[in-house]
Amino acid sequence: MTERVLLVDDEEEYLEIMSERMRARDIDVTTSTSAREALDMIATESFDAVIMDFMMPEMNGIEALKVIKEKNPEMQIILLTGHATVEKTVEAMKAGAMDLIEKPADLDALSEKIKNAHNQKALIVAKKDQDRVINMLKKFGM
Amino acid sequence: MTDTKQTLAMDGARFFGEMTATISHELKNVMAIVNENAGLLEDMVAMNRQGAPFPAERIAKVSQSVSRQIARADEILQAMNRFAHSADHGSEAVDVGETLQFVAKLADRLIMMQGAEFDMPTPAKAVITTTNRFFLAYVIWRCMAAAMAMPQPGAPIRITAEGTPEGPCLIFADMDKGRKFSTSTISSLETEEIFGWFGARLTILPERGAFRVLLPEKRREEQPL
Repeated sequence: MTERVLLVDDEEEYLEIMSERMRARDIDVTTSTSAREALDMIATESFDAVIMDFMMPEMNGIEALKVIKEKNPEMQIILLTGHATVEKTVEAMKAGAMDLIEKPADLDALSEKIKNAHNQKALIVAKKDQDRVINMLKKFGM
Repeated sequence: MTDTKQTLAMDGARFFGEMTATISHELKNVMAIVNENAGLLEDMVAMNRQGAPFPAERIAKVSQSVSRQIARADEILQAMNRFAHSADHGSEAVDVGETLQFVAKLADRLIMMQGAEFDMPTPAKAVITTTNRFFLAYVIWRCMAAAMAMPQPGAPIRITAEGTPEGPCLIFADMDKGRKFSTSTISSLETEEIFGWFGARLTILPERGAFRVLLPEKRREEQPL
């Protein structure tokens, strides 16, 4: 099954080339140049993972990550950054990021992480479904 | 080292760090685009080995993109080099308006991150002060940062360099007059120290929704760096 990814970065040229390369790897990519626009997209579309730049105008990657995680805890988010300092990594992980990757990113490694994100999300959704069924069975005394 | 000198050294180093960090972020973005272009070429070679023809038009686009990014990096590095040399001379004749434009360009990403907008008309006549270029840039940045710390979405701040009978000055004015600048919002312990040492004076102009920084025509020579 094709992985669905939302790629968010304020560098339009980066988005254009990165998405072209991802599509060549059978990844279904949607792009956005701002975190605010990305939040609207997440509210209406389903993605396996969000790959987002750490430093963006208006709303930065960490702020957006917190908002997304609050509404969609199962969403797998990978942050991209110019400099992956220990402080930034800790901050991102605490906020629920799946990973923090330094730019320029290795696309093959990133593709692997996207696959993992897809599997991780599928597991979380399956677990949620399973819990729902168990709760229903309990409700009916079974 | 005196307390003032220590504050100046620490704050100056912090300013230098802040600017070089934003420059390095910009360079990383350039590198990321060049890296993806290289990756795209590798992908094309791999596809060609599988029998696909080389897409000439796409390759031409890659080449244009790399050239654009090289020009961008060159501009960033030129600004960085100029900034690095700004402390070379203790005192020299400096164009205030031009330094203002330079600081805005240097801190472009930081300004964008804050969602702030500055309007900086070129003065009709060059406004010159004889001072230390690095610390003039620092004073300007402190004022810009203070103005940005009062968010007012969609309201640009106009910064004008003017020559007045009292001396060269910079006026920071909220074009919508929504921001209420006051001494306490602009001033801090560090600003007071740097302003005092630099010989700059801060005046709030409430009727104009503005504040003015009066610069010395010539920094007093007895003030060592």
